[in-house]
Amino acid sequence: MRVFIETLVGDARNVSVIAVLMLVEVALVFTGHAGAAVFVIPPLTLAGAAWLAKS
Amino acid sequence: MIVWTVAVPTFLAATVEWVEAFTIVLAVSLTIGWRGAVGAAVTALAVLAAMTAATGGALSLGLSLAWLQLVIGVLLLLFGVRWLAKAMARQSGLKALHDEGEKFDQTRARLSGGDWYAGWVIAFKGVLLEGLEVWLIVVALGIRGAWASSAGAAMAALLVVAAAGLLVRAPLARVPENAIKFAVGVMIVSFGTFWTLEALASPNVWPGGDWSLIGLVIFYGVGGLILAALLRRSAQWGEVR
Repeated sequence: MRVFIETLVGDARNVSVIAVLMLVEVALVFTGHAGAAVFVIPPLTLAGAAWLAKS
Repeated sequence: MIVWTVAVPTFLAATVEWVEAFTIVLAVSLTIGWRGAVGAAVTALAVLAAMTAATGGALSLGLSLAWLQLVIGVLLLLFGVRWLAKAMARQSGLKALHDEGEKFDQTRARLSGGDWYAGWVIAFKGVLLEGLEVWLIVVALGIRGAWASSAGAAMAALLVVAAAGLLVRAPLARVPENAIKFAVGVMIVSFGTFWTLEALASPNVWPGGDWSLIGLVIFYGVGGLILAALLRRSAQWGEVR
Protein backbone atom coordinates (compact mmCIF):
# COMPACT_ATOMS: atom_id res chain seq x y z
CA MET A 1 0.00 0.00 0.00
CA ARG A 2 2.85 2.35 0.89
CA VAL A 3 4.51 1.72 -2.47
CA PHE A 4 1.16 2.37 -4.18
CA ILE A 5 0.73 5.73 -2.42
CA GLU A 6 4.34 6.76 -2.95
CA THR A 7 4.01 5.95 -6.64
CA LEU A 8 1.04 8.29 -6.86
CA VAL A 9 2.04 11.25 -4.70
CA GLY A 10 5.75 10.78 -3.92
CA ASP A 11 7.46 10.79 -0.54
CA ALA A 12 6.83 13.07 2.46
CA ARG A 13 9.23 15.74 1.18
CA ASN A 14 7.41 15.91 -2.14
CA VAL A 15 4.03 16.18 -0.43
CA SER A 16 5.42 18.92 1.87
CA VAL A 17 6.61 21.00 -1.07
CA ILE A 18 3.21 20.84 -2.75
CA ALA A 19 1.43 21.53 0.57
CA VAL A 20 3.50 24.71 1.06
CA LEU A 21 2.83 25.75 -2.54
CA MET A 22 -0.91 25.28 -2.14
CA LEU A 23 -0.96 27.13 1.19
CA VAL A 24 0.80 30.12 -0.36
CA GLU A 25 -1.49 29.98 -3.39
CA VAL A 26 -4.66 29.82 -1.27
CA ALA A 27 -3.39 32.64 0.99
CA LEU A 28 -2.62 34.89 -1.97
CA VAL A 29 -5.93 34.22 -3.73
CA PHE A 30 -8.13 34.64 -0.65
CA THR A 31 -6.39 37.85 0.46
CA GLY A 32 -7.11 39.39 -2.91
CA HIS A 33 -3.64 38.97 -4.41
CA ALA A 34 -4.46 36.44 -7.14
CA GLY A 35 -2.65 38.64 -9.67
CA ALA A 36 0.54 38.42 -7.62
CA ALA A 37 0.20 34.63 -7.38
CA VAL A 38 0.80 34.44 -11.14
CA PHE A 39 4.34 35.72 -10.53
CA VAL A 40 4.99 34.13 -7.12
CA ILE A 41 3.88 30.52 -7.61
CA PRO A 42 6.04 29.49 -10.62
CA PRO A 43 9.38 30.60 -9.02
CA LEU A 44 8.30 29.00 -5.73
CA THR A 45 7.49 25.75 -7.55
CA LEU A 46 10.89 25.77 -9.25
CA ALA A 47 12.59 26.46 -5.91
CA GLY A 48 10.72 23.50 -4.42
CA ALA A 49 11.86 21.24 -7.26
CA ALA A 50 15.47 22.41 -6.80
CA TRP A 51 15.27 21.71 -3.06
CA LEU A 52 13.94 18.22 -3.76
CA ALA A 53 16.70 17.65 -6.32
CA LYS A 54 19.38 18.68 -3.86
CA SER A 55 18.05 16.92 -0.74
CA MET B 1 -9.56 15.17 -33.25
CA ILE B 2 -6.19 14.82 -31.53
CA VAL B 3 -5.42 17.38 -28.82
CA TRP B 4 -1.65 17.58 -29.24
CA THR B 5 -1.03 19.48 -25.97
CA VAL B 6 -2.46 16.40 -24.24
CA ALA B 7 -1.20 13.66 -26.56
CA VAL B 8 2.50 14.68 -26.60
CA PRO B 9 3.16 14.79 -22.83
CA THR B 10 1.07 11.65 -22.32
CA PHE B 11 2.97 9.78 -25.04
CA LEU B 12 6.38 10.82 -23.68
CA ALA B 13 5.55 10.04 -20.05
CA ALA B 14 3.97 6.72 -20.99
CA THR B 15 7.01 5.77 -23.09
CA VAL B 16 9.34 6.17 -20.10
CA GLU B 17 7.08 4.13 -17.84
CA TRP B 18 6.42 1.37 -20.41
CA VAL B 19 10.16 1.00 -21.03
CA GLU B 20 10.65 0.36 -17.30
CA ALA B 21 7.71 -2.06 -17.23
CA PHE B 22 8.99 -3.86 -20.35
CA THR B 23 12.42 -4.30 -18.74
CA ILE B 24 10.81 -6.09 -15.79
CA VAL B 25 8.58 -8.26 -18.01
CA LEU B 26 11.57 -9.18 -20.19
CA ALA B 27 13.66 -10.19 -17.17
CA VAL B 28 10.78 -12.24 -15.73
CA SER B 29 10.07 -13.91 -19.08
CA LEU B 30 13.59 -15.36 -19.14
CA THR B 31 12.80 -17.18 -15.91
CA ILE B 32 9.14 -18.20 -16.12
CA GLY B 33 8.66 -17.98 -19.90
CA TRP B 34 6.87 -15.51 -22.17
CA ARG B 35 3.41 -16.88 -21.53
CA GLY B 36 3.53 -16.27 -17.76
CA ALA B 37 5.23 -12.88 -18.00
CA VAL B 38 2.90 -11.57 -20.70
CA GLY B 39 -0.11 -12.96 -18.80
CA ALA B 40 0.95 -10.98 -15.71
CA ALA B 41 1.52 -7.84 -17.80
CA VAL B 42 -1.86 -8.13 -19.54
CA THR B 43 -3.62 -8.65 -16.18
CA ALA B 44 -1.95 -5.50 -14.80
CA LEU B 45 -2.89 -3.55 -17.95
CA ALA B 46 -6.50 -4.71 -17.58
CA VAL B 47 -6.54 -3.42 -13.98
CA LEU B 48 -5.13 -0.09 -15.17
CA ALA B 49 -7.73 0.16 -17.97
CA ALA B 50 -10.53 -0.51 -15.48
CA MET B 51 -9.09 2.11 -13.10
CA THR B 52 -8.90 4.65 -15.92
CA ALA B 53 -12.50 4.07 -16.95
CA ALA B 54 -13.78 4.10 -13.35
CA THR B 55 -11.91 7.15 -12.09
CA GLY B 56 -12.47 9.12 -15.27
CA GLY B 57 -16.20 8.51 -15.11
CA ALA B 58 -16.43 9.22 -11.37
CA LEU B 59 -14.44 12.45 -11.61
CA SER B 60 -16.44 13.68 -14.60
CA LEU B 61 -19.77 13.08 -12.88
CA GLY B 62 -19.20 14.12 -9.30
CA LEU B 63 -17.36 17.44 -9.30
CA SER B 64 -17.75 20.90 -10.77
CA LEU B 65 -15.12 21.94 -13.33
CA ALA B 66 -13.30 24.21 -10.84
CA TRP B 67 -13.00 21.46 -8.22
CA LEU B 68 -12.00 18.99 -10.88
CA GLN B 69 -9.26 21.32 -12.08
CA LEU B 70 -8.04 21.86 -8.53
CA VAL B 71 -7.89 18.14 -7.67
CA ILE B 72 -6.23 17.22 -10.96
CA GLY B 73 -3.94 20.27 -10.75
CA VAL B 74 -2.66 19.23 -7.32
CA LEU B 75 -2.13 15.65 -8.55
CA LEU B 76 -0.21 16.97 -11.54
CA LEU B 77 1.96 19.14 -9.28
CA LEU B 78 2.65 16.17 -6.98
CA PHE B 79 3.69 14.13 -9.97
CA GLY B 80 5.38 16.77 -12.12
CA VAL B 81 7.52 18.41 -9.41
CA ARG B 82 8.86 14.95 -8.50
CA TRP B 83 9.81 14.17 -12.10
CA LEU B 84 11.34 17.61 -12.61
CA ALA B 85 13.36 17.30 -9.38
CA LYS B 86 14.60 13.82 -10.33
CA ALA B 87 15.58 14.97 -13.82
CA MET B 88 17.40 18.01 -12.39
CA ALA B 89 19.22 15.83 -9.84
CA ARG B 90 20.32 13.41 -12.58
CA GLN B 91 21.32 16.19 -14.95
CA SER B 92 23.39 17.88 -12.26
CA GLY B 93 25.11 14.61 -11.34
CA LEU B 94 23.61 14.54 -7.83
CA LYS B 95 21.84 11.31 -8.69
CA ALA B 96 22.96 8.47 -10.97
CA LEU B 97 21.24 8.18 -14.35
CA HIS B 98 18.62 5.46 -14.53
CA ASP B 99 20.13 2.27 -15.92
CA GLU B 100 17.69 -0.18 -17.54
CA GLY B 101 20.44 -2.80 -17.82
CA GLU B 102 21.00 -2.66 -14.08
CA LYS B 103 17.28 -2.92 -13.40
CA PHE B 104 17.14 -5.94 -15.71
CA ASP B 105 20.01 -7.63 -13.83
CA GLN B 106 18.43 -6.87 -10.44
CA THR B 107 15.12 -8.42 -11.49
CA ARG B 108 16.93 -11.50 -12.85
CA ALA B 109 18.85 -11.84 -9.58
CA ARG B 110 15.61 -11.70 -7.55
CA LEU B 111 14.25 -14.53 -9.66
CA SER B 112 17.32 -16.73 -9.51
CA GLY B 113 15.34 -19.33 -7.52
CA GLY B 114 13.07 -19.92 -10.51
CA ASP B 115 9.78 -19.62 -8.58
CA TRP B 116 6.99 -19.29 -11.22
CA TYR B 117 4.48 -17.60 -8.87
CA ALA B 118 7.08 -15.10 -7.58
CA GLY B 119 7.99 -14.25 -11.19
CA TRP B 120 4.36 -13.71 -12.12
CA VAL B 121 3.82 -11.39 -9.13
CA ILE B 122 6.97 -9.38 -9.91
CA ALA B 123 5.84 -8.85 -13.52
CA PHE B 124 2.29 -7.96 -12.42
CA LYS B 125 3.41 -5.50 -9.73
CA GLY B 126 6.07 -4.00 -12.00
CA VAL B 127 3.61 -3.25 -14.81
CA LEU B 128 0.94 -2.07 -12.34
CA LEU B 129 3.23 0.34 -10.46
CA GLU B 130 4.87 1.76 -13.60
CA GLY B 131 1.43 1.98 -15.20
CA LEU B 132 -0.01 3.89 -12.23
CA GLU B 133 1.90 6.98 -13.32
CA VAL B 134 0.57 6.54 -16.85
CA TRP B 135 -2.95 6.18 -15.41
CA LEU B 136 -2.52 9.41 -13.46
CA ILE B 137 -1.46 11.37 -16.53
CA VAL B 138 -4.12 9.84 -18.77
CA VAL B 139 -6.86 10.75 -16.26
CA ALA B 140 -5.44 14.17 -15.40
CA LEU B 141 -4.88 15.36 -18.94
CA GLY B 142 -7.89 13.63 -20.46
CA ILE B 143 -10.40 14.92 -17.95
CA ARG B 144 -11.24 18.10 -19.87
CA GLY B 145 -12.69 16.28 -22.83
CA ALA B 146 -9.49 14.88 -24.29
CA TRP B 147 -9.92 11.23 -23.31
CA ALA B 148 -9.25 9.91 -26.79
CA SER B 149 -6.01 11.89 -27.04
CA SER B 150 -4.65 10.93 -23.62
CA ALA B 151 -5.69 7.26 -23.64
CA GLY B 152 -4.76 6.89 -27.31
CA ALA B 153 -1.30 8.38 -26.73
CA ALA B 154 -0.68 6.00 -23.79
CA MET B 155 -1.76 3.04 -25.93
CA ALA B 156 0.42 4.22 -28.82
CA ALA B 157 3.40 4.46 -26.47
CA LEU B 158 2.70 0.93 -25.23
CA LEU B 159 2.62 -0.42 -28.78
CA VAL B 160 5.81 1.43 -29.77
CA VAL B 161 7.71 0.21 -26.69
CA ALA B 162 6.42 -3.36 -27.05
CA ALA B 163 7.31 -3.45 -30.76
CA ALA B 164 10.78 -1.96 -30.19
CA GLY B 165 11.38 -4.28 -27.25
CA LEU B 166 10.36 -7.39 -29.18
CA LEU B 167 12.63 -6.41 -32.07
CA VAL B 168 15.62 -5.70 -29.84
CA ARG B 169 14.87 -8.43 -27.25
CA ALA B 170 16.94 -6.54 -24.69
CA PRO B 171 16.39 -3.75 -22.15
CA LEU B 172 15.69 -0.52 -24.04
CA ALA B 173 18.68 1.28 -22.59
CA ARG B 174 19.02 3.85 -25.36
CA VAL B 175 15.82 5.72 -24.63
CA PRO B 176 16.95 9.16 -23.38
CA GLU B 177 14.96 8.73 -20.20
CA ASN B 178 16.27 11.74 -18.32
CA ALA B 179 15.65 14.20 -21.16
CA ILE B 180 12.11 12.85 -21.56
CA LYS B 181 11.49 13.02 -17.80
CA PHE B 182 12.70 16.62 -17.75
CA ALA B 183 10.45 17.61 -20.68
CA VAL B 184 7.42 15.81 -19.27
CA GLY B 185 8.08 17.20 -15.77
CA VAL B 186 8.14 20.72 -17.23
CA MET B 187 4.87 20.20 -19.14
CA ILE B 188 3.05 18.52 -16.23
CA VAL B 189 4.15 21.17 -13.71
CA SER B 190 3.02 23.88 -16.14
CA PHE B 191 -0.45 22.31 -16.45
CA GLY B 192 -0.62 21.85 -12.65
CA THR B 193 0.36 25.45 -11.91
CA PHE B 194 -2.05 26.79 -14.51
CA TRP B 195 -5.04 24.71 -13.42
CA THR B 196 -4.68 25.10 -9.63
CA LEU B 197 -4.52 28.89 -9.79
CA GLU B 198 -7.28 29.09 -12.40
CA ALA B 199 -9.49 26.87 -10.19
CA LEU B 200 -8.80 28.85 -7.00
CA ALA B 201 -8.97 32.35 -8.48
CA SER B 202 -10.88 32.69 -11.75
CA PRO B 203 -10.56 31.58 -15.39
CA ASN B 204 -9.18 35.04 -16.22
CA VAL B 205 -6.37 35.08 -13.66
CA TRP B 206 -3.64 34.19 -16.15
CA PRO B 207 -2.66 37.08 -18.41
CA GLY B 208 -3.13 35.91 -22.00
CA GLY B 209 -5.41 33.03 -20.98
CA ASP B 210 -4.30 29.63 -22.27
CA TRP B 211 -1.24 31.23 -23.93
CA SER B 212 0.23 31.57 -20.44
CA LEU B 213 0.82 27.82 -20.56
CA ILE B 214 3.53 28.39 -23.16
CA GLY B 215 5.11 31.01 -20.91
CA LEU B 216 5.04 28.57 -18.00
CA VAL B 217 6.65 25.81 -20.10
CA ILE B 218 9.45 28.19 -21.13
CA PHE B 219 9.89 29.44 -17.57
CA TYR B 220 10.09 25.96 -16.03
CA GLY B 221 12.21 24.61 -18.90
CA VAL B 222 14.82 27.37 -18.87
CA GLY B 223 14.67 27.76 -15.09
CA GLY B 224 15.09 24.02 -14.57
CA LEU B 225 18.14 23.88 -16.84
CA ILE B 226 19.74 26.87 -15.09
CA LEU B 227 19.08 25.38 -11.65
CA ALA B 228 20.46 21.98 -12.73
CA ALA B 229 23.64 23.74 -13.91
CA LEU B 230 23.87 25.63 -10.61
CA LEU B 231 23.37 22.41 -8.65
CA ARG B 232 26.12 20.73 -10.68
CA ARG B 233 28.48 23.64 -10.00
CA SER B 234 27.56 23.60 -6.31
CA ALA B 235 28.23 19.82 -6.13
CA GLN B 236 31.61 20.22 -7.88
CA TRP B 237 32.54 23.08 -5.57
CA GLY B 238 31.65 20.87 -2.59
CA GLU B 239 33.93 18.10 -3.93
CA VAL B 240 36.86 20.53 -4.42
CA ARG B 241 36.51 21.83 -0.87
